[in-house]
Amino acid sequence: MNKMPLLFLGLLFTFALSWAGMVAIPYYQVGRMRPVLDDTTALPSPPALSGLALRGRAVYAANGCANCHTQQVRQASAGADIARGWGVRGTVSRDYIEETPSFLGTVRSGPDLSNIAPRWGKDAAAVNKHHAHLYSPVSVTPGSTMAPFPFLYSLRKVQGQPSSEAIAFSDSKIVPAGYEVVPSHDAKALVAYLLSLDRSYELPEAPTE
Amino acid sequence: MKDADCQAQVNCECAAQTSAADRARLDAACAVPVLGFFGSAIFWLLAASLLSLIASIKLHYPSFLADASWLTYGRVNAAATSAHIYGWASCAAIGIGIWILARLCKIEVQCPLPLLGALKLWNLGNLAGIIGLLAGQSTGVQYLEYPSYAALMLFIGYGLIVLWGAVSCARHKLCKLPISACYVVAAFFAFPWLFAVAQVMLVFQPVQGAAHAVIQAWFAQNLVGLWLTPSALAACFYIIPKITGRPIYSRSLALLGFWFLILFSCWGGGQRLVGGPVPVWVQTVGIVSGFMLLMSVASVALNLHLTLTGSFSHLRVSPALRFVVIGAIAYTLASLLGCLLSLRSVASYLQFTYAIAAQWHLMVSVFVGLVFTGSIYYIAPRLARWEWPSAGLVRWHFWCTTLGVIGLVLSLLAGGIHQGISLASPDMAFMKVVQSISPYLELASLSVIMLTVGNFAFAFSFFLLVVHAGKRRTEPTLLDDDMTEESAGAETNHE
Repeated sequence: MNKMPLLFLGLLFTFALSWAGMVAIPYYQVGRMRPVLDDTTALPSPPALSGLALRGRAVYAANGCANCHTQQVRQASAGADIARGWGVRGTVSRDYIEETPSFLGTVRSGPDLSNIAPRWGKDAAAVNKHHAHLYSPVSVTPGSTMAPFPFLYSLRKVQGQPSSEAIAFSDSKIVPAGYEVVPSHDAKALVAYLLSLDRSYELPEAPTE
Repeated sequence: MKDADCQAQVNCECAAQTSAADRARLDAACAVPVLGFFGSAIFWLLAASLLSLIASIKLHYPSFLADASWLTYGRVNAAATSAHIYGWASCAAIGIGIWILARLCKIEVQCPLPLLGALKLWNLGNLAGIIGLLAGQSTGVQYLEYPSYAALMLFIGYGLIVLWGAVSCARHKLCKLPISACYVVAAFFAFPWLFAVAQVMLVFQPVQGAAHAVIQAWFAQNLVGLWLTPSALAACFYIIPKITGRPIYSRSLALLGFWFLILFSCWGGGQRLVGGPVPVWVQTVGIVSGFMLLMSVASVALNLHLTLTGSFSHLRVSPALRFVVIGAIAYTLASLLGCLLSLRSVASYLQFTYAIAAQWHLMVSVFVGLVFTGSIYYIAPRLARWEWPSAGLVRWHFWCTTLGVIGLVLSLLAGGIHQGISLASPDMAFMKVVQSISPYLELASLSVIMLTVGNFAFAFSFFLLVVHAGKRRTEPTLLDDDMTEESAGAETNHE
């Protein structure tokens, strides 16, 4: 390329083509999907996130959880994710229609979280487990290298009645005697988001067989 | 004189030959903004080194600095990456690009105000971005974590540079662009396009999940492939012939490599999503584009190798050439490793492991990082009118950095392979895998410590150069004290 105008035109054309191919076409193909409605209950799959879970998503983004955790289960042919129990099926494009931005992740310093809700449960015990784990990961999984998030909780002296929200730890040494650990709003939101991470529902293109 | 002939071919393939006086005049005109960008780049390199050291230690010792929200791993790691890309690499790329354009297109910077404004905006943008990120305002989009106000400052600052570039290019009268200028123009053109598309579609008005992932991968790939890579190749093609005193072996081969890079790189990205929840054709196009890119890589490697042949003795003495050549070798290795990792059979093991990080470091820290470092070693003395004050500091920088990056890449790669094979057997508990790769991560942290030491030596050296410390040297600072007259002369002739 010898002349500046030709160089410019060449670059412009190549970049425009790339934009059309790698941005516009994927957008039209998988960027405008709708949830599937159940025939009898009319409930959408994937389900919409609650307001608290949406706030939790923002906490997840702000603290860079996606630096260590992926949220994608590869098909059985593409890796051992399903064999490892990280999901009953591989995830597909439609699973992510609520996810803007998406947290697919690039590295698994920690386990995949696509299905953390069915794996750990959704009851009160699971909520406590998540809180205890976020406050002190090693208290739940010994040897864990996950970053602790004590700043999402307040450690305070018990005054009168212990708080009904106080976290129960299996290891009594985590909290000094006479103190309790209470989750902040952000911590509750984050756990609500984690409890919403469930891709075990069935989709036409992704049977759970 | 032989060197003068080479100079004519390399430097001004069509227009009138530049004399040493011309070059000194062009250098003096752009000295302040370019040195400003280099100084900022080195400052952000130090920030990135310290942040990545903290992040690296946290990976195997999570209770390190764990109480402060602004030092949690996810924030520090994102800040380190952003400081590395937008602080160090981008500032260095802008400085080198301006200088190469000024030299090759004979642009005398008459009004440095837009460039100085851009410099201020980039530093402010990076500062605001890193503080915002650590304060918990990350967007959560990889490589675009800076909050919107910081991204906007970077974008406006970049606009000022483009304005300067457009005005300058409109005035220039060359009929034939040297290859380095082509690379610089392509890089300067690609960055705002990529950055704007990504900011709008990923942060400002984020598109739906799966499409978001595709566009994010496309941006991540091309931020390196179309912005940092062409900038670094421009430096390779300019500086290697300058130091060795031989013209680029083949201009046609260089042009071929250039267009292959532009054509194929911009279809990449899908290889980062192999096995993921995105259309399979996106993944396949990504894998294929990676392999097609090897043609560009091979032509660049061959061309640079043939340009260097017969001048390998310069590697013993010239710090600039050492850094640039090691960087150029890493380009080939990183591209090959990238292709290997994208293969579906390999990805089923190594996707999501530290091997991916190893490839990223090989490309960004070794190739781009070392080529930019070498370029600063070559350019800064010419702009500051002062040689590097201490060969000892340069030697410290060279060995710490080189051994540091090699250690980092090898430990992450070995750890990643170990991790991938362990994760592929579902019987092995995840916690066992985490514990078994801890030693590799400790090695990686040691390497980052070495890198940080090297970078501080570099920064100190640069500071001494800018303040004109020590005695005035009449010849360039070379690494081997008993060098021959000839090898010492080669670099001075090309000042």
